Order: sequence, then C-alpha cells, then structure tokens
Amino acid sequence: MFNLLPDNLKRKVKSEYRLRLSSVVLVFTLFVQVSFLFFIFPAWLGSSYKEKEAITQKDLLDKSLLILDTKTVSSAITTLNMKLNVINSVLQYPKVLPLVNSLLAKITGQIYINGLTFESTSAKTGTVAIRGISSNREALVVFVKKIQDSGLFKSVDLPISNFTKDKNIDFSVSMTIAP
Amino acid sequence: MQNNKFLKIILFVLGLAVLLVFVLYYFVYEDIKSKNQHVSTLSNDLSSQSAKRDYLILTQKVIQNIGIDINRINNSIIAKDGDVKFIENLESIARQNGLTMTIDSLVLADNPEFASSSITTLQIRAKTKGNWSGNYKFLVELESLPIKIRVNKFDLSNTAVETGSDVKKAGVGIWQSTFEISVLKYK
Repeated sequence: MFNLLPDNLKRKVKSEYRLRLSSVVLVFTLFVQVSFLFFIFPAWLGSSYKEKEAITQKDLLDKSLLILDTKTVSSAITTLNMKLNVINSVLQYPKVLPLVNSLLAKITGQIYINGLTFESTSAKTGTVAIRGISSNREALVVFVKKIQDSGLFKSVDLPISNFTKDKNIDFSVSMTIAP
Repeated sequence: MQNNKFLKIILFVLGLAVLLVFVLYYFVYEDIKSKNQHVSTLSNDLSSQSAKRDYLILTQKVIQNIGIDINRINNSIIAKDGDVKFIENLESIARQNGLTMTIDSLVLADNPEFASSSITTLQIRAKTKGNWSGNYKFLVELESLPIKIRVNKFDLSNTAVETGSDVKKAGVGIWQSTFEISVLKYK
C-alpha cells in the first residue's frame, strides 16, 4: 500500500480525529448528565415539598401539644395517684357495724347486752368484747356457740368465771378479728 | 492548525462543563438524600408526637369524665381549714340522732406512711350519750361518711344497768359511746 500522505500530515489527521472523538464523547457525557439532572429534578422537587409539609405538620403538632398543657395533665394524675395511694393504704380497719349487726342477730330473749367494746389493732385485725346479762348458763353457752359458728372471729373467749352464778349471769365475751 | 486549536478550546469547555454538571449533580443528589433523611426523621417524630397527643387528649377526657370521682376522692380528705366544719358535722349527726356529744380531745398526728405528702391525720376522741338506737344510727352514719375514716376504738355501754340485774327487768336505759376516730386532713 502506498502512503499518499506524508507522516506529519498523518499525525495531524490522527490528532484531529482524537480531538473530535473526545469532543463527541464529552458531548455525549454532557447530554447524559443533563438528562440525569432533568430526570432527578422531579425527585428533588418532591423531596422539597415533602420536607416543607412535614415541617408544617410538626409545627402544628407542637402548637397543639402546647395548647394541651401536658404539665397540668401530668400534675393532675400525679396528685390523684398520690391521694389514691394514701386513701387505699392508710386508715384501713375491720368495719365495726357488720360485727355489731352479726352479734345483735345472735341475741335471744334470754340475753341482754349492756356493753360492747371494739378496738382495731391493724388493717384487718382487732378485738371485740361484749358484756351483758344472761338469764341462765345454757342461754349463754348457746349465745357463745352461735358467735363461734359465725366464722367472723378468729377466737371467742368466754372466761369460766362467767359461770359462777346459775341465773342472771353477768358475762363478758372477748373476740379477736383476724383475716 | 487553526482548526486544531479551536477543537482544543471546545474540548476544554466541554470537559469543564461535564465537570461542573457532575459537581452540580452530586450536590443535587446530596440535597435529595439529606431532605429524605430529614423527612424520615420528621415522620418518626410526627408519629411519636401524634401518639403522645392522642394519649394526652384521651387522658384529659378521662380526667374530665371521672371529675365526679375525683371530687369524691378530694372530699374524702378534710380540707386544710375544714376541721371545724367536720366536728360540727359530727355534732350535727349526733343531735339528729337524739344524742349529746362531747369532744374529749383533738390531735393532729403525722403518719409516717405519708409524712412527705401534704396530708396528716386528725384524731378525735369523743363521747355520745342517748338511747340505743341513737347510738347505733350514729355509728352507722359515722362509718358511712364520705370521708376516709378509721374507728380506732369504740365502746358502747348501758350506764343504767346494774350488775346482776334480771334480764327481763333490764330496761332500755341510757347508752354512752366513747370512740376514737382518725380522719385524713390536708396540712
């Protein structure tokens, strides 16, 4: 094959060719980049709007939380809890009235009650003493048996000295309340 | 030669433009990334704050709905300056039941169980005198008071009956109750 072009011209042509090729590559790259930018623009716009919307919502929520006044609510709950805690835990005692009613229900015509003493020792324990007159020993024994059978008391104590007399007996019965 | 120089300038400008667009693209990408991250953080905050707000609204509604119960709780403790009113109330109950009432002692005692709170205990020792049913009703009303009360001691005796009396002859007589109660009171 004959070389029609001298070497220096050949080099020039080759150099120009490379420059033109590089230019085409760069133009293409630029085109691709601009296309990417163009396509990414909606995503950027969407993100901006989303961010603005989220900030607005957060501001609104913060304002609504301020209006709600969390401190008042929490202080109301704390105070209420404290009071409930105190009310539920202190001044507990076995109620007197159910005990009195139960004892009164066991009285017969041969028993007369002239005194009753109650003392609470703790939330569920206490002592009860009942004083009275019984027409005879049998009536007193029946009365005490009824109290024992009620199951309201842990122990029912009738001192033996109560039986010294055979009629119009002054008696005293002591009972302890336990859970 | 002229043409070659012109091509080099174009190449330089194009290269610079590619570089600039790349830098711009990087910044846009970073911006989108940071915006999305911010949105994600805000969304999390929003959901947690929204749950907090809902809980607060619910709690407020509950507090409003149980207002009557809260009042009952508040009224179960005697007000700071309510001791006189309470004692007068006790005397009034006694009077209504035909009893005469005498206050023996009034003591304010701090309970160690709630010493740190603003609540203390008022201990009252008193006597009532009257018939059996009056004393019984007084006890019923005392234990049914809408305040937190504890009957520490209660003694009920018939003062008229003598020892050894006949059961059938033991009359109704005069009954005297001696009691000691504790109630909660604001300091």
